[in-house]
Amino acid sequence: MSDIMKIGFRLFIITVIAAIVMGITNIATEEPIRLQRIKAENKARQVALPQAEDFRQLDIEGGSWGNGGAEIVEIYTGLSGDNVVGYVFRVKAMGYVGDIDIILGINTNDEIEAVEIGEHSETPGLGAKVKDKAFLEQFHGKGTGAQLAAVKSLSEDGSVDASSSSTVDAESSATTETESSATVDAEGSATTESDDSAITDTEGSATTDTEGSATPDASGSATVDGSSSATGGATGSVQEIQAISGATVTSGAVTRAINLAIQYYNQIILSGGGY
Amino acid sequence: MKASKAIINGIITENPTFRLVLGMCPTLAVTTAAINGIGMGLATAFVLIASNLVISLLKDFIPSQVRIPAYIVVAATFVTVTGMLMEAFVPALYESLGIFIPLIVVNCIILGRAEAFASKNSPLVAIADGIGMGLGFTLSLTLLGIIREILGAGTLFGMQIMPQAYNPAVIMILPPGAFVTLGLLLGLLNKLTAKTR
Repeated sequence: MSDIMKIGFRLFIITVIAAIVMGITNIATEEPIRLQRIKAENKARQVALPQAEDFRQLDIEGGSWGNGGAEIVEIYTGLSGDNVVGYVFRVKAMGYVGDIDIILGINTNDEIEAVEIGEHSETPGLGAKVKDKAFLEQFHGKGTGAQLAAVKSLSEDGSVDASSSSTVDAESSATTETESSATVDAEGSATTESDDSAITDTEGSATTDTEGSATPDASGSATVDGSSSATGGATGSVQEIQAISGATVTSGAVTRAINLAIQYYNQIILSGGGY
Repeated sequence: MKASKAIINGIITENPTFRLVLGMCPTLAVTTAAINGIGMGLATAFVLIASNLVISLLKDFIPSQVRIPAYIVVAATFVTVTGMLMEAFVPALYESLGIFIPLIVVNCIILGRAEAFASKNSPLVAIADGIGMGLGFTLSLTLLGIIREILGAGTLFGMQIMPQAYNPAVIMILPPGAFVTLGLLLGLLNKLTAKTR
């Protein structure tokens, strides 16, 4: 019995010392860590909206704003002195593997200032390439007047019309597809993508698209598309973004998240809400 | 055992990755790039040296019946303290190593060396063992990272070194690539050492 007491007591001493050491470290580092975190968060926002010096968080209208695949997490007003210089959105979108954290800034000229990818768990070498500058810089300077779409190859005039939309990623751009092009799309993308990881997903959405093309689009995209045209922003034209080869699902997710922020910007912020 | 011998032992004779085959989880998981291998290796080395020292000093105080929980507490304390200090004062380094730091607690090299070496040797030799094992682990992880990064991404330490025409074998930076590379390296080293014996 005394043996057990002795063993227990010694282990107790070790854990008490460990707790004290960690406690002291915690007290000493708590404030610097808090400041570092604020600095890091502001830095991420500043990448998305460089002209802002300070950020003030806005309440999301109605508590939450999202659709099937994406949701707005946070919105900040970017301030320079007392002037509003733009807005920063943090949007979470479901990628190929898991949630992708997307931060984007919209300036007061109604243009996307910059896009940054935060935490994600996409496949290295494929979906993780959405972090590449080459992909993200495509969004810079895009106006908020029309929705964006990730496509496998850019069309010549930079916008998609109904007949040329066969290249458009089935998932993110169901808006402009007509009956005939949807069929092409389903076949085309199913074959061209057969060597990459997006295969299941692409086939799945392509099929839905083909079948559903006689009637308006399938559920998920209907919300975004319907409401964005209601704001008068989209006039049937779409701004193209070159999707990453082999990662159309992830590219589509990022594009969808940005469309969601644009939609919120057009519907709520431009109409005077959220101040 | 002399300190210098303990260092050589950790790097070559009993290399934790290729000889003891310890700490396979971080070895397979983080070696997608050479820089990750260095980061994980050095962070582990630091905790290993510190925990080896403390456990060697406490070897007469820790009752053998509860030595495993005692070792875990010591290692976890160092990992936690290291993590907090790094986040507070070297945030850039913490950001690049962030996810690897908590992983060190579950690295069985720490526990393995505490049990097999530090608890039976003097503090100085225990530190030397920590240095040797830590460097051995760092070198092994970096080697794995170099091979996987070159073949899987065409880069080394983030710089493009393969010709543009090279189409990276993405599988090398995915989990199967980790197993394949580790298996081939283990086999190669076994063959080389078998000849010299």
